[in-house]
Amino acid sequence: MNSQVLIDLLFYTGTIVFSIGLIWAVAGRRAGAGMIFGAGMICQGVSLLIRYHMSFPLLPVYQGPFFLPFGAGLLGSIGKIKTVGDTGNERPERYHDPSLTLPRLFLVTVLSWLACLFPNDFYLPSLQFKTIFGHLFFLMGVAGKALFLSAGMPALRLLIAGRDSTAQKTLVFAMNRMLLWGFFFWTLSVFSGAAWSWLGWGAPVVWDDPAMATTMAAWLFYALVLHLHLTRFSSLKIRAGACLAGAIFVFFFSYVPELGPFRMLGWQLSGGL
Amino acid sequence: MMGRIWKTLGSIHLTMVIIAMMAADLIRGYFMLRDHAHVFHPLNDLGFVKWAATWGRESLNVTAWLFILVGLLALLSLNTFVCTTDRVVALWHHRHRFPSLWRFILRLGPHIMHYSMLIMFLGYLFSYVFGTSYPTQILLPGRTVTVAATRIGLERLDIKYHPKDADSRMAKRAKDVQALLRFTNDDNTEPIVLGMNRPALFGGLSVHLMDFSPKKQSSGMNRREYISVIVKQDPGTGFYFCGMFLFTIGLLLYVQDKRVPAGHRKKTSHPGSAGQEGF
Repeated sequence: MNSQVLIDLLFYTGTIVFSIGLIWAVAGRRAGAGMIFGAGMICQGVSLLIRYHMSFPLLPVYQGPFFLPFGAGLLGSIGKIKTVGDTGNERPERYHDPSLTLPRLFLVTVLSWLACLFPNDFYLPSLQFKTIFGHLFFLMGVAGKALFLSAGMPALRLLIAGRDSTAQKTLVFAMNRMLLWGFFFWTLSVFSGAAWSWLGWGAPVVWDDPAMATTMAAWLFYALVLHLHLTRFSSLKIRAGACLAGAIFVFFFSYVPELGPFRMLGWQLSGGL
Repeated sequence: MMGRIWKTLGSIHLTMVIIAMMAADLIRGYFMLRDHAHVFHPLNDLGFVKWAATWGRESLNVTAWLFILVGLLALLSLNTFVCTTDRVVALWHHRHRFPSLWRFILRLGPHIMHYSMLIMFLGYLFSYVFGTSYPTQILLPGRTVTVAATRIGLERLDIKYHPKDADSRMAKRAKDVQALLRFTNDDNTEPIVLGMNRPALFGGLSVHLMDFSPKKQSSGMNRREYISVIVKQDPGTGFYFCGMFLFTIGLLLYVQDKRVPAGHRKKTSHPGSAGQEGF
């Protein structure tokens, strides 16, 4: 079997498994949904490993949408661990908030289907894509984007549930943690991109790439969100609203432009699946 | 009077307004870059001052967002400097309240990030005002070009190709390229290897490989070998990479600080501790 067909088949399988997990979760069987979710992650993880291996040491730069669902699935658990206690001496306590399972599965499933239906993997990487900074730029960008999109999920739940939510503490923790790490990875991605740009083109900014503008806009927006607590606009509702707005922005201005035209993934290679 | 101006300039609400305006301006920039990339492409080679006087002025309706961005960036720099300095001074006055030196250093994280950002901005300013660029210098084997009183010659070009039986898309395509350049100026002569993403540095110049030929292995006789390079003389490089390095250290301290349990943070609450609550 052609490796590209294997990559596509594994990705499709993962996507279908995620969809089954989502239906399971909607039906209220969260534990089973978690296991199905894990199986989907394994399928997509293997697909991504082969995909990366095939282009390595060059960078699969236009293939971000394939890596994003896996990133969201993997890093979405960042918000699950909570350290409690006023003195900081108590043992860390784990919260497994079931209210986050469904949105996380929903996000991962939607992102997977979008990658299947709008693939953008027909560009050959050039030699300028061969540098450690390019790989860091790509992988950290995926991590940052995944976390920003994931942070929108608890933010949405906080806005819908309001003050009465019993899981509010966990949701706030998840949102803040994803935001913080999302900013961390996004910043390092921007810096790696600048280093790569200087090595390859002699300037830290390539001015004819529109993605540069939205990347910086997203960075500034999240920098603003991280400063909100210093202002009078520090209510939970405003912060949750800002997180949700950020996720919508990242989706439309950073994720959607990376998608290709509508076609089935692997259609041309396999002569129709 | 000066005190009032200082206070206004350092206002966190001014920061909010500037950042929000910059984000909105960059969204407009996205559409302009997407639809009129050819207007902005020369900026890579000309530097901001020359570009502003030519392309920038000619297509003002397309380029206005960039001029606004530069203005907002200048204002943000001023605001960041005042705001951060105020907070660092307050933090220093309250340093005895911290249980350890490490906790004090952790709290400096956001301020290190802010000052580093200013160093980066300074780098960009130097780069675009004082930087010089010599685009599309074609080098043929055995020939030299003279750039900024430095002679650059291509001594050897070594291109490695994917084998014939590799993946059909990659077969016979170049997989690595290295060029041996010889730099000569009044004081010195030195051979330096140039590659993709591996610039050659000599006497304040950086040479970056942009293109080369032949990209595909062929058995034909007519294979013209050349490389195309861009030569940069950029005094801002050190500043912005130093700023990025320090920003990363500040960011690591900030993230580490946020990982400390909330109870610990509340104990050291004081006016100079930017970034301690909320996130």
